[in-house]
Amino acid sequence: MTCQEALDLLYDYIDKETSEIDAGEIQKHLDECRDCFEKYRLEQSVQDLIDEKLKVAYPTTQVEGLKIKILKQLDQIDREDEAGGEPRFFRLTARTLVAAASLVVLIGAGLLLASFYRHSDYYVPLERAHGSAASNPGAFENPESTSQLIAAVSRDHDYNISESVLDFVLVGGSVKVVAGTEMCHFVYARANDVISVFVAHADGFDISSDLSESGVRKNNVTFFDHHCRGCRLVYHQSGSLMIITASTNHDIDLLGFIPGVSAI
Amino acid sequence: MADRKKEDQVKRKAFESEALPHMDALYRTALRMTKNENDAEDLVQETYVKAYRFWDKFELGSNCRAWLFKIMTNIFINDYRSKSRSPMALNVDEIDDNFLYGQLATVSAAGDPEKQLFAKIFDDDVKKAIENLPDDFRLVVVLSFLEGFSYQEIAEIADLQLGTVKSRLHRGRKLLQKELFDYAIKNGYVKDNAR
Ligand SMILES: [Zn+2]
Ligand SMILES: [Zn+2]
Repeated sequence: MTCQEALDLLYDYIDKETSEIDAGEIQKHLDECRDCFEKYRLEQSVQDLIDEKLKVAYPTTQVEGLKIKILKQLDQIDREDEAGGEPRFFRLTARTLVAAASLVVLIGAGLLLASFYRHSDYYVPLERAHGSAASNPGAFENPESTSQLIAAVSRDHDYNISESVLDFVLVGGSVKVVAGTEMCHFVYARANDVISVFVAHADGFDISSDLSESGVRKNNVTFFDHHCRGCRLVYHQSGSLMIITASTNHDIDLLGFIPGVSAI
Repeated sequence: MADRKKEDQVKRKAFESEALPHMDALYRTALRMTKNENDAEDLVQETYVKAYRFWDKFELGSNCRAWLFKIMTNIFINDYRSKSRSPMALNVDEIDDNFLYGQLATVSAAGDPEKQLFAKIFDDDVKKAIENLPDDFRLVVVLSFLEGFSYQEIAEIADLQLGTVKSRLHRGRKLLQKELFDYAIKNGYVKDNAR
């Protein structure tokens, strides 16, 4: 084995990914070649250092709270499966756990920090979900699952999602967990703009206090408006649903963007 | 109906014993990837909801841990990966393969230069260096170094060619080494040597 051949396989050797035959050859070369051995020794000791530090830096975290949330979601899926009938694609859970978590922060860190955390608890996950949809709305194009979702929203909540709103056209929808809540994420687009519509169960969905002061009444509906540099989120309730529209273009009139019709 | 209920109970039991034990590992990696506890929890929850719905697609006896990581990686790539390129990514190709070796050779005084170097690198530095890696590199580095997956497993989890896994891991390593060396200098490594 030449030096070059040995060095080409150095990381494979360190990661124990070489065949036994290659490992033997490399071992033999390292025994005979001081230069290669020095390089090997250095690389191996850096790797040992990283492995050792990683163990200390990332101990297995206790995530009991997370386990409880997951088990609850499984319970809900089980209950619906038990009831039989059509498969459901839209299962909703209340966001009470998120609210409880921010309460702890509120007590622990004082008011100033609390409003900061509230922003990251309540808005940032939605802003992020919208951001990734806006940069790649095409990923939502799946006519079959989109129509299943629309049917599920209509069946379970008597809310009919529109194929087009103003000059925006529905691209598609999918189910997401956002901020611990399972919700439908529909995406509408026109030339240069994308609007996300998040549809969640209104039960236990608490409008945070900073938002409740921002209520604007229009056409008999109260809209709660969150503006920030990240994006704009507008909340309103329709029947049993909480509907949240999002866009990064602050010029779009989100208060005039109603994505569906409630039968109730 | 009774049959269905029994079937569901069997499914739930199998899922809890096969899939749930991997939650800590999934969360650990999710946290490394999203760099944020809220997002990491969402990511893991969505992974389990998806895995439970598609449980009948999982072949019992095959590698459940890798299967769960594949589901999670897929969600991460579609929904969480930052779209902008990290500034670090631009320098990846400029790093010489023998970077660390060269750096150590120039400052090597007596004894083991790397021992002095390592003494200046703290646990937190490694953490920061990993989190500074661009998403694509961080993913393979975390799956390999932290979770101990093989090249082949990573290729399947991240849906990459084996060669791509190797080259990303290789460059991820070089980036890490460079970052760590920079931390060591900041923490006073070179000053110690110059004395
Ligand atoms: Zn050699
Ligand atoms: Zn915001």
